[in-house]
Amino acid sequence: MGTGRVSQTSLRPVGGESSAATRTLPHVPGEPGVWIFLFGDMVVFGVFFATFMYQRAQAPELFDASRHTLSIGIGLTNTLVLLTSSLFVVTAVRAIRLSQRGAAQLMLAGALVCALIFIGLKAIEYTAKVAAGHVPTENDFYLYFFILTGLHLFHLLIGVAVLILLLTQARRSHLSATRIALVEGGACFWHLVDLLWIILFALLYLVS
Amino acid sequence: MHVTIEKTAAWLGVAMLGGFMVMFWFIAGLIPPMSPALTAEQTAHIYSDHGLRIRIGLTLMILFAWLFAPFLALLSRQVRRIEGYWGVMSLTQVMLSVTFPFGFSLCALFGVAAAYRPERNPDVTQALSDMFWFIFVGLVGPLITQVVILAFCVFIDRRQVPSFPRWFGYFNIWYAVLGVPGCAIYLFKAGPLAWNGVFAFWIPLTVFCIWMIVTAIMLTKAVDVEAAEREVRAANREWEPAA
Repeated sequence: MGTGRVSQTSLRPVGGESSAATRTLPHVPGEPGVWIFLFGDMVVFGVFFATFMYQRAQAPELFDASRHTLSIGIGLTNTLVLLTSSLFVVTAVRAIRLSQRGAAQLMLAGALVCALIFIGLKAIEYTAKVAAGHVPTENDFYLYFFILTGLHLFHLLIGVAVLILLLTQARRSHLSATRIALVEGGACFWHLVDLLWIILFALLYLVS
Repeated sequence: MHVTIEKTAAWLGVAMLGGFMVMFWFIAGLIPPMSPALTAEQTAHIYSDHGLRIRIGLTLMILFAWLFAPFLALLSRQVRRIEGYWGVMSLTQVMLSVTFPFGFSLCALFGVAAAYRPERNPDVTQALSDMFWFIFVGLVGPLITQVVILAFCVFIDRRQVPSFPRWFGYFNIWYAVLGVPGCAIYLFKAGPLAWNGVFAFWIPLTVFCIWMIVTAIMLTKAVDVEAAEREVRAANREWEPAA
């Protein structure tokens, strides 16, 4: 998770605590509460992945044969697109912290463009698969392919809303500690979307 | 007295959660769910073989589902306190709270209807059974909306002593995100998004149970916050606005 390292350098004023205490406390990116959501979501995606692996173990040949019919080019491009978007978000958070509003907005716009490219490529991939007769009812592999990538896409759409929220925060001249935490939490969510895709890409497209 | 009544309302929610589990799982035996891929005859067989169990379990739910209401009234009141007046958020919360007991009792009505006449055409039983699952598992919109409003309220609470901690807001978003896949059951007859699937049934059911318990605990704490506020007001001889 990219922000982990970046955030440690931030100085976030914590109300009611002495500065000595703040320095010794390890900084949690965002606010502690956001990790309830992030870890909770990761646990459930862990269950999703475990379910997939279990189903895969039931019919390894079918899953492997179906895997070869996926468009690995689109999958790989989407992975790179999301990694780039995460880089944009990391840079944007740093720019917001340094009050470089213009740069932050530009970076977040870049991340949003990446998100739109991802959605566009996903739409092309889905259409191509359905046109080739690979529908969710074809076999268990395609059932899980559409459901898992669909659930990820649902997360990505929430992520787009989060990026737009970050964009509105980047326009502000001054951000309170709470708002900085909100920005960091939002960035962490975007990295989660990225992380989940990387695992999903490996599970669906690569693992044989 | 206020405090006791309101905390009782919060715990009544948890008690009803337990009651729901007993009625649907242990008495009616409808959890774990039957497969949507069963034929009409197989489905009808389940309702005739376990007819009495199903009718008793669901009858209890039709009678008791309404005891969720005090829990939801307390939830709406706390949203109203954060909002400060009867605004859009608290009124939406009240309106959706009204639908909540129907989620349990309406589905149960279709379930008892399916089990009521074992001698009838299996196709009819299957249609009624489908309606049971469609309402029970698939009707997630009202609750998700309630939970999203609650999360939003937690985040915008700017008072000195907020009613809920901020992590509770994120917790609600977590529940909202995981509750959504239930809406996909109408599109599948097998797999994880069917009404007996992991993603559409088991995970939403688990997070719903966690949500009910955590929310009940948080509501009792919010009642304490409110009581403390009232005491300070009384000590300062301030006018107490009608909450």
